[in-house]
Amino acid sequence: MKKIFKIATLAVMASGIVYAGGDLVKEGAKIFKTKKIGNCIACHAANGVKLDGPGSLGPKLQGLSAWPEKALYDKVYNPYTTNPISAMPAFGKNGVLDDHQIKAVVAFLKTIK
Amino acid sequence: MKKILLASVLGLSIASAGLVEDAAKLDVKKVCDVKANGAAKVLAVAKKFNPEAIKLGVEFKRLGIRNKLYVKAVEEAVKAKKKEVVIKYKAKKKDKVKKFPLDYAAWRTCTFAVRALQLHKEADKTWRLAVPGDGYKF
Amino acid sequence: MKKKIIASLLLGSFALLNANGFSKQADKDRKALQAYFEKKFADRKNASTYFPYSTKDELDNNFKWGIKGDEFRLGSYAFDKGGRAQHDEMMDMPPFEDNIDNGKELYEKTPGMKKCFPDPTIAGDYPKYVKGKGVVTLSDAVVSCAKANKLKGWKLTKGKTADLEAYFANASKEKGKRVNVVIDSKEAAAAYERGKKEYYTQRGYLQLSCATCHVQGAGQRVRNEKLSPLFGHTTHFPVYRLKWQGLGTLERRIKGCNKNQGETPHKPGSTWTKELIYFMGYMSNGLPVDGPDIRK
Repeated sequence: MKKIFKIATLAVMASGIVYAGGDLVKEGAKIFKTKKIGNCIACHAANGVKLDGPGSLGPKLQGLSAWPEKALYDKVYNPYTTNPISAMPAFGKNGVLDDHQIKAVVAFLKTIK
Repeated sequence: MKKILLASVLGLSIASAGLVEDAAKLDVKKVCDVKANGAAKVLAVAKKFNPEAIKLGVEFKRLGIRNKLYVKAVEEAVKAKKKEVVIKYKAKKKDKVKKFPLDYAAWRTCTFAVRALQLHKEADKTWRLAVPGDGYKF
Repeated sequence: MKKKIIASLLLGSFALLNANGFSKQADKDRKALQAYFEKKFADRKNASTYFPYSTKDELDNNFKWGIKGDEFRLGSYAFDKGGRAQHDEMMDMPPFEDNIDNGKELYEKTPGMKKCFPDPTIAGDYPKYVKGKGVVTLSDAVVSCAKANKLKGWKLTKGKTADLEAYFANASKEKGKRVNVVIDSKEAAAAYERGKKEYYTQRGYLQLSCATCHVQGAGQRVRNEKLSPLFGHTTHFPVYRLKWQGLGTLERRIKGCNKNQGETPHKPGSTWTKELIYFMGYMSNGLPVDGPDIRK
């Protein structure tokens, strides 16, 4: 049984069919944790996520699974809604993360309870 | 001679103010949208505004690559009809190369150029909010 | 207790000495800045206001509270217990001792240096505003002196300049000197105001101002590193940074910070950098000269 499963998985991977959901979350997690990409870990801890030394400039993220995706997207795209001197950069508006990258981050954020 | 000098300085600063004001009016998401406008048009926006950003000392630079180099690389790729840009830059005294898909680089260079000028204007109005004893209440 | 009273009297008297008309706004700014930081780091009770996202564990166990006046010369080590312990351990055998020795030799043997700086205990007096020239930082003054004597290889950021500054700072510290930046003209006040504006202006694709991290953000953490406060910032330069494995001037550090904001950094010798340092220097007026020092 295990052998068949392995062959099937390889076949799926080889054909390029990828479960967009799972991979997008993975990509988003990478963006979150990597200094040279999103580097969200510089300021944010996240509930239930094992992070190596998250910063405290921003709140510990929790309950985000309940947020609408658009709200999460907008926040990452441009958080300067109420506080013009907020410490959180406008990752989308200022050209750091493109549309796809933000969607990936949102997919990851949606897994945070 | 002095009058000519004064006039040209005044002219240049009006031109500066003009470019900042032009950038301020733009919706950066729309103007730098490569799918909607094409890489060439988006590049033109970057070429228009980035020199001004450099002059004002507000040009964006990310991970060793200043926006001027993004502009150059996108321009080369558009001319050569390539789908990938190659940026040569120096970091920590070493020669480096970074590659990006054309669409990504074009979006970024345009966004960086426009936002640098927009931020320059916006920050002019908001900086006092951070000063203790001035706009910052504690 | 006695030391604290004397220290605050000294700080106060420095404020008075400098209180000519031209420095009125700068004195006001400095006072407000000190008041802000002393309030921020006064008491664990206020932590939810100033450190809303710090963990309970770090607030309970890794913060020293009740920081006042002179203590701010230690930067984040004033309130970061763990950092302070590491710092004090390294200060048992400071890595910059060779730099001070080299600086002393440079002072004594470099042609023209003693003439430019007859008194080596002047670290706290810079930057200065020189009429017709503008702001002159200590690094500026050193490099200009070298150039005037047709010497090459003196940079604004490190090397011989940093070593010489280490000697000056150490000599000033040993003599108990304090930061004494002066604003005594309309032009100087204008330079100060420009530096101040640049300090508080958001910049780069990260849209951070210097204040985002070093005023509002001071005491909060980027990853594991507590951000240091503006009040006391310039007192401990030149700094031996573990990251550099070497000594660097204020200009060197500022260039790195500027890059971190996401913009093409201003050159160390630019008017922008000099006026920023002028503002920053004034914000530490009255504090003890405490360089050279070690930082991460």
